[in-house]
Amino acid sequence: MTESVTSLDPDASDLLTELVTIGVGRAAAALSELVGERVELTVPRVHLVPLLCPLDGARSPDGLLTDGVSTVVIQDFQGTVRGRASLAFLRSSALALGNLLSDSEVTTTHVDLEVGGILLEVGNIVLNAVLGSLSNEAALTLEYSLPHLFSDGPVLPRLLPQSAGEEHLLIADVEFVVRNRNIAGTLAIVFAGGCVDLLLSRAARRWSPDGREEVPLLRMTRRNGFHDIPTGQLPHR
Amino acid sequence: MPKVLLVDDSKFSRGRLRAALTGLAADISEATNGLEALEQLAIVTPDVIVTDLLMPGMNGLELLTELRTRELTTPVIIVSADIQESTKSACAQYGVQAFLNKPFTAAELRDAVEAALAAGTAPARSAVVGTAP
Repeated sequence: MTESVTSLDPDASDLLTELVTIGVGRAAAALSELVGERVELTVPRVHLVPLLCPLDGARSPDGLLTDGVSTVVIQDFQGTVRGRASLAFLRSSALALGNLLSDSEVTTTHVDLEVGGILLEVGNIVLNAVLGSLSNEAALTLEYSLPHLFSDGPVLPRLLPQSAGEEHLLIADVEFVVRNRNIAGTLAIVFAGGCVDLLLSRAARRWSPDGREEVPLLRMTRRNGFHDIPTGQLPHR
Repeated sequence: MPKVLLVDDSKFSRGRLRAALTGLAADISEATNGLEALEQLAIVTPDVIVTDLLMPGMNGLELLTELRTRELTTPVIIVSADIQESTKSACAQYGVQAFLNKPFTAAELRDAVEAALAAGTAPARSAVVGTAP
């Protein structure tokens, strides 16, 4: 059980959920275009966890971030806000996705060079769709580093910065199904200290009718539990 | 036969670009980053360059800068996963012919390449960049 978690103002929670929903919806659309198939999304769950709290607090429902042997694409971003984004798959999902997009049938049981190249490009497109959407909606400017692929363990240690400060981990658990194959992915983004505040205040100002709303929306409080932001059903494609 | 240079570090993406241009009567060559593209440009000047932005070694914006510094007016089409408006604006500063977001459709790329071939030279800097619908 965590001691310290982030409490969001209800308006901030609503805004963050909306921002993520738009981004994930765009990412699903991009994936659908890529595979040429309908992509269906389950109800996503969005969590915001301060990295100062024990890692148990960052456990995603499927355990993929902390427990699973997964394949993950990681991409750093910097600019108006900075941080690190990841898209993780269970190995079975990674191979299924590689098989779907490869010119030839994938027969290996591990992520080889060809499948890795495909996953890197898929991760780049999906993460750019989410981050780019956040950037556009909040009028930010981001620069991306080259994505990297890891296929040998849980995701969370790879997401953590060298020295943890007031970073926040934004987890969007999104399960999507591609053409009768269960291909599940988990999206996670670490924002550097103060960046979630900046993201929300910029978006709030941009979305307000008079363009003037700029209020601190994120408040740190101490309470037990895990902040869990329910989100609605995303539009299917 | 017109020459099209595809620049992308991803083999998967280069394959998709090449497949999209199947049927276009063009001599297609490939480079994995901006530096390789410049090496090829020293030998043959393509009629159109299709390039990604995020690449190791020399990225797409650096390649564009180098092209314009050399006063090369070859039309350039950007194909990138970066959907930020600020990135499209930055590319417009270099007078790119079109900006397509990944994933693109074959028709979008083919149309953009054909339009670039018809135009012959890059549009003026800060021109409105064509985007995929």
